[in-house]
Amino acid sequence: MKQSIRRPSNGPFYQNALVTLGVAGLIAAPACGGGLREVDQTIFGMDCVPCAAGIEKGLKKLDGVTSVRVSLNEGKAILSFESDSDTSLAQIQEVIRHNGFTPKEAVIKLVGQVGRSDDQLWMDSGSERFHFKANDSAVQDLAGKAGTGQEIRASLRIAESRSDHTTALLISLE
Amino acid sequence: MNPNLLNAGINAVFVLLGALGALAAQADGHGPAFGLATPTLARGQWSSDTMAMQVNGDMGSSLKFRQLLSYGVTEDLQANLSFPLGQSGEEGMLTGSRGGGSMMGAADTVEASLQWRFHRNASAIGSRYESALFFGVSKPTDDTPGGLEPGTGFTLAAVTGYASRTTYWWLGAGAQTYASRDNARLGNLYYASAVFGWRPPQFQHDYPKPDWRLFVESVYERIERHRVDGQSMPDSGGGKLLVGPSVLGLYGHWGIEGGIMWPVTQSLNGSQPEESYRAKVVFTYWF
Repeated sequence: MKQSIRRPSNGPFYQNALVTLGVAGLIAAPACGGGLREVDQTIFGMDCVPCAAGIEKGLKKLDGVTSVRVSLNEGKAILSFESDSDTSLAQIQEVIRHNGFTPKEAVIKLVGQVGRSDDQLWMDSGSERFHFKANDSAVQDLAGKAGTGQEIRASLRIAESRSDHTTALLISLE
Repeated sequence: MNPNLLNAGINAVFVLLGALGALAAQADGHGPAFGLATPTLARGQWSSDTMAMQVNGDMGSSLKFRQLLSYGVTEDLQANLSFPLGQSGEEGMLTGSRGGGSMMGAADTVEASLQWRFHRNASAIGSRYESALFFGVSKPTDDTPGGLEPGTGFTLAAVTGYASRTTYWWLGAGAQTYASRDNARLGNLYYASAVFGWRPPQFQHDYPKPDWRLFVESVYERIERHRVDGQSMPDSGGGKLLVGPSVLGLYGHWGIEGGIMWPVTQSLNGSQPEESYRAKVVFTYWF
């Protein structure tokens, strides 16, 4: 479920209050400013300059994109986003599919919340939810943060994507 | 109908029909200049191909200009519309010249076609296998006095191939048939093409730098005898095999391609002019 709440305009009172509450781990509200920050998307089948130009053009139209670099030789699209971008990884992969190519593994940096449902941990960026594999020991550090509403910065490797479910491996917490 | 004019027209039909008929699929994105290739447009993307083709033969030479507009209905279905921009050359070469595909059809036909990529397998970074079917209809837009007039033409072709950052290949085959018109009917055209492409290491720069690739193309064409008033025309039909190089340069949304082919073998029925070479230049813009 998308839960995206914009930060109020910055001011000393809000900043101090949020910092204080965050340090105390008492923030129970949904994530603020969650979303993708960087995406390194592997693309199979992209062989020509117009192919890369078409993908670059499509990706630049996505919400909150600050930079796009497409590499034919590496088979990648590398994007970065503003902090209030609503763009999802699924939208990025849809642009690639509509250009006739196949999105594969992606490495993403995102800000979001951690939660748990049916004994499975997930991380929600505000625009989509990434599910961790049940046997991934690396995510146990996240278990304690599930449901707290705490904003987490993490790097994930997305190996398998479907329209309704995305499986992720935790690379690191920041 | 004046027999001399008719004969000249039939000869010209064979020269140009043979020259143009095997071009049913366009060289868009990563494709060759003459042979069949798979489509590449993205969903909702337009492209424009403006092309010039010269055919030289025993009867003289002909230069034709043509425009192709293509649209990606989906990433696997592409619609094309091709129409003439003009022509010049020997009268005998131009009279009655008809037929062909969406890329370089006859001088005064409008052609509509669909390309359906029914198979696509991206096997690795920069490479993929894919196959496509091509359906086309060509319609003459005016009458040319003297020559043999074709009716509406219908094309069906198939192509399969491989594209990567270093090598390419495509194998394709197709057929074109014509409706009767004024008691005359062009012979069916059958064709096959094989293309091998290579990008030398010094051309393997990354996007957005220019992208160049080289092709060796071969096309085989066979045309049945034309029929007039129910009779087969002796000086019509036959087969030929052509081979030649082409080069494709791409930069951003622009592309330029040029190629030339020479006949390796020509087996023409009766007395017909032989083809010396065909050359082609295409300017492409992807919107």
